Amino acid sequence: MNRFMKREPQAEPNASPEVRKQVIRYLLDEMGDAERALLDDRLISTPEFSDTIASIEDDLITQYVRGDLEPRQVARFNEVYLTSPAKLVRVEKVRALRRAVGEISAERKLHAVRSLQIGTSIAAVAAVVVAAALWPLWRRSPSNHLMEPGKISYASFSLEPGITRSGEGAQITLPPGVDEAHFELVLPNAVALQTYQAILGTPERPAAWTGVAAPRDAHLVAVVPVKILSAGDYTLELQRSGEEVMTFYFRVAK
Amino acid sequence: MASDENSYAFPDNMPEEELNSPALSQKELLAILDSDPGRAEEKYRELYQKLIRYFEWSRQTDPEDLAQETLKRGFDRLQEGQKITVGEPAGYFFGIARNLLRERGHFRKMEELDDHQQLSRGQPLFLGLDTSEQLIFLKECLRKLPRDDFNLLSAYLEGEAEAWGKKAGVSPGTVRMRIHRIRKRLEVLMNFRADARNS
Repeated sequence: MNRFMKREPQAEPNASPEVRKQVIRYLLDEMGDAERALLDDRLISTPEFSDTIASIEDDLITQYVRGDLEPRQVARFNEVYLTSPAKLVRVEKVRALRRAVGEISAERKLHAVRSLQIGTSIAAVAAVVVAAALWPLWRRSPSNHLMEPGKISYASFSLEPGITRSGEGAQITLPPGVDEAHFELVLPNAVALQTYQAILGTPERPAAWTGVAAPRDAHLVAVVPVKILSAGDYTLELQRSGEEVMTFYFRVAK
Repeated sequence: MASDENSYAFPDNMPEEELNSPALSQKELLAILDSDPGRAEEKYRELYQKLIRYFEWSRQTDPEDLAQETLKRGFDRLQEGQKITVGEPAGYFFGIARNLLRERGHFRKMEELDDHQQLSRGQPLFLGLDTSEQLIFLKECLRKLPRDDFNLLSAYLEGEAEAWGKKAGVSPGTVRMRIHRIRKRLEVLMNFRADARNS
């Protein structure tokens, strides 16, 4: 395990796949003390290596936010990153950055359309056509439904407690092209508005996705990548300190 | 308190002993990082951020305090006449940082002790802003990026950086390098704007 010591500092962030794997193990706290000490040695002898680690960490967080991490890594990531306030801030920062980039992209696309002088009347007609196309989806949705134009589009759904899977349950329809589902969770008065661990499960996969549900403008919101949501029944469980606080039920129809 | 990368305010976070020291001035101390005062200041900021991140990777609950303590110890020793023997001054500070961790012992379990207390305070924030304020702030910073950099960042965040590179005729290594630089530039823009807001 002398690789960290022997290798010359690389032009970060272009670490070899082997180094990337080791750094990910370091970040996910999967190294033994001896191997970790070697990596610390490398930081002392070649401090630029911290840029490499930072860059790999940025990639790791970005993959997580996109929902692209391997399931095994997701579990480990949740354990290390979602229990640390400082790391949670980094995760939220990437999430916010992604949203901001998506909104600017959308604005610029709109601006490009205008600069091509397509004309407001055509845009108005297009808007009517889009609205007409989305109207059936809107009507079928059990809750308020919001489409965000641009690269990161999302749909918002309100989930209320007390609706059981065996009953009518909340049924949601995901419009095509949507990247994220934002679940606004209605909490009973007795449940505090604070950050919880959120675990999305199906009968077959009890922890198909895990993340956080965080307060946003007086609501509790869990942001779930749509690629995880195939048609079927789901539970969204909120946990604190590993204990269930409450569970929401819904069905995805596609 | 959750880590806020922009909470430092150079040079106020330099240890007071150094600021008031009769032996070496602050400028002289910073000269170990770079002979140019402007670049030395920039490197000091970078070093502080790197140390914070190092302590985060070691799962410490108070990475900012530890980064401050590391810098203080390092500059104290320089005041006492100690010489830096490693090639890069940052390595000297990383050595001190590692010793700080050793002093604490059993460091990797420490973070978990008050996680839940910390998380129970509510929504994770950066820059102490709520969600909508974060979005406005980030968009202000993003608009300062050159269009091409913005497009690459956008592709990266959507997992399409490789495709972007192929289309632009740029190797994956160069794409990664550019993304790294863009993110650094964005950090600088964010720090600058955060400083401007705080002043």
